[in-house]
Amino acid sequence: MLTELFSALDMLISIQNLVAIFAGVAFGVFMGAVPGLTGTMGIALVIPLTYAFEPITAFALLLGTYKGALFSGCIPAILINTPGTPAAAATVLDGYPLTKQGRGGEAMGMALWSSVIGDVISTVALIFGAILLAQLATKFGPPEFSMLVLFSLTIVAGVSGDSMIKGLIAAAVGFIFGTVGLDPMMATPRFTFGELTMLNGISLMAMLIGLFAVSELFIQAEASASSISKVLVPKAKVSWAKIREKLPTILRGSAIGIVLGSIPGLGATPSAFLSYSEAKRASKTPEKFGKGSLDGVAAAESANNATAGGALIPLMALGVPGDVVTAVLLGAFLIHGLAPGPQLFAENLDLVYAIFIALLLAALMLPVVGLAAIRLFSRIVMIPRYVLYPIIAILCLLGVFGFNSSPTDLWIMLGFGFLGYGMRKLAFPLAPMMIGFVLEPIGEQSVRQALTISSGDWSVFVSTPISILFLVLTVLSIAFIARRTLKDRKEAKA
Amino acid sequence: MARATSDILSGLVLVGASAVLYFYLIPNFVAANESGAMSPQFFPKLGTILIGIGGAALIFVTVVTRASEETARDAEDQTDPTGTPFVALLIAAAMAGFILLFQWVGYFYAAPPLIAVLMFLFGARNPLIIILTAAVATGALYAVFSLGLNLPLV
Repeated sequence: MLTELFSALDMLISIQNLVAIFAGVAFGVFMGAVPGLTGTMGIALVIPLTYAFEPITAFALLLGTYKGALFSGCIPAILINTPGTPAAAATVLDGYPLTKQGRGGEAMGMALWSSVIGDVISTVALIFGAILLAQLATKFGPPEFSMLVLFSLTIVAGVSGDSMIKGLIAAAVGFIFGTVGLDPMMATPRFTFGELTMLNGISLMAMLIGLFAVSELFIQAEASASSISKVLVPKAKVSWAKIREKLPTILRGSAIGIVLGSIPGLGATPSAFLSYSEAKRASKTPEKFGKGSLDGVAAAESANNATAGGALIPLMALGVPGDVVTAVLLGAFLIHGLAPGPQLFAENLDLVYAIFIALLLAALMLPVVGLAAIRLFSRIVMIPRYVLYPIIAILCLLGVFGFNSSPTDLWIMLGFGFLGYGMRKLAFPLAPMMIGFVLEPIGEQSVRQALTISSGDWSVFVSTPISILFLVLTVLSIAFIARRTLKDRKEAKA
Repeated sequence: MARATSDILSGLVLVGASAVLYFYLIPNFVAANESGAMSPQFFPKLGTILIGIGGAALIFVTVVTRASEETARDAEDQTDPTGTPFVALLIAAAMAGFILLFQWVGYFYAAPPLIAVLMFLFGARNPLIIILTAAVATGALYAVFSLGLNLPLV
């Protein structure tokens, strides 16, 4: 283990990688701070820029972007009452009232340091959690992987938004797109329509950028130009005494973020709200919540940042994305020829450790970039849409072309952009489609391998304790989702 | 269009698409040299059946619960009421034009017109700003992709 750790340090510690982490955090902060742009879109835009890099440099940049965006959603939430990302919605509740009271700087400081502490704690949890889970996963064979994929598909319910049916439909459509190309067992072509370029299947990059970035461009083109008046940005400053005082709230928020983040399908937004309500319940002055409480800001921000480490546990250890952003990150791993999961731990342990160290460094760089971003915020939001979005459009086109130098991929990207736009207009969620697309090849190969081993006997899927465990987890997960749906409906009626 | 109506139409399209997939595209464009789960057709058919069932369920649920006005209004609120697909279509057309021009005459002739058109569609009206931004962005992105990252743009 020590050998791999030193090898990881050797791999990571270079000017290029440190610059990549810093640039990633800075770009992520920018994406999160501009309302309308998201971390998911940011990662999708950064992936093409990483083709030419070594995997560790690429992931330093990507994970920096992830962490930066997760934090900076709080900047517009606190200053202009507009969450930069959905995860910062809970921060608005107390952040903006604090700004109105002239305590915006204190709120920003508390948000920044709560985010950093939550982030560091969750990264440590990721390191231990992922290693333990990956060790267990080395015992997996095709039947266990098949059941794991079945369990993973229940994530779809968690990222389906208001309509689970629409989420399942989107996942099934993604599933069909995943079958395009050569059949994984017999290498017979499927839906290639005689096109040689389709034999490798649909380009993940073209699909990813089309769905998440191009569709966003189309949506933004429709939106009327938002008029943001000049923002008076206070200096982010909070005393250490105040941070120490709020430490129990921050630690509780971090724990909630890690646990909820690691459960596929939940993610940052519910974590932030749960942490907020728990902080209010535990507070001696609950009446201050919603009117400008630093505890509210600390609870929401520590939890939403702590989900990063939690969500990366199933991704790194099992290759299962826990939310939309990690689904896109899984795409990035595959694009770089790496499959997260136990095999990655077995074959590239030094790379895994290097990624973990990069995550810690990204968390430590957050205060530096965050403080600068808060100061620059009034300028960031003043960038005209007519400059920002055309450049994003060209970035999408060049990024997809740069991957395979294939004009076909550009048409595919445009097609998925339109499909994504249509889906969003009709309130179909995009993330399940991506999850269906990514999981189909893994699931199909595992199921068919398992059936080959068992000579077609389906009982192979319940032949080991691990596969039975996943089956039970799948049933429990469905029961939990059904219960939650019924409860939500009852509450909505009431 | 009310959400309930669009959901019913979406459901009908999905059921129709799954029928086309199941009865035409899969038999004609996926070879079946095995049977059961080992067949290359098994998983595409499974996905197709799920789409069909999902489409039918969407229609059924929408008709049965027949979205109360409140639900419909909530769902409508998710999109910009002032929005029109026309601008999105123009942007898609401009991007399609870029792809054609890019293959035909190369990056340096394709990128500036796209940036200029998109700037106009996103609200820029000052010709000088449009021309300058298009020129600078074209050069800067070429520097990033071709010179910096060594990614081919031709």
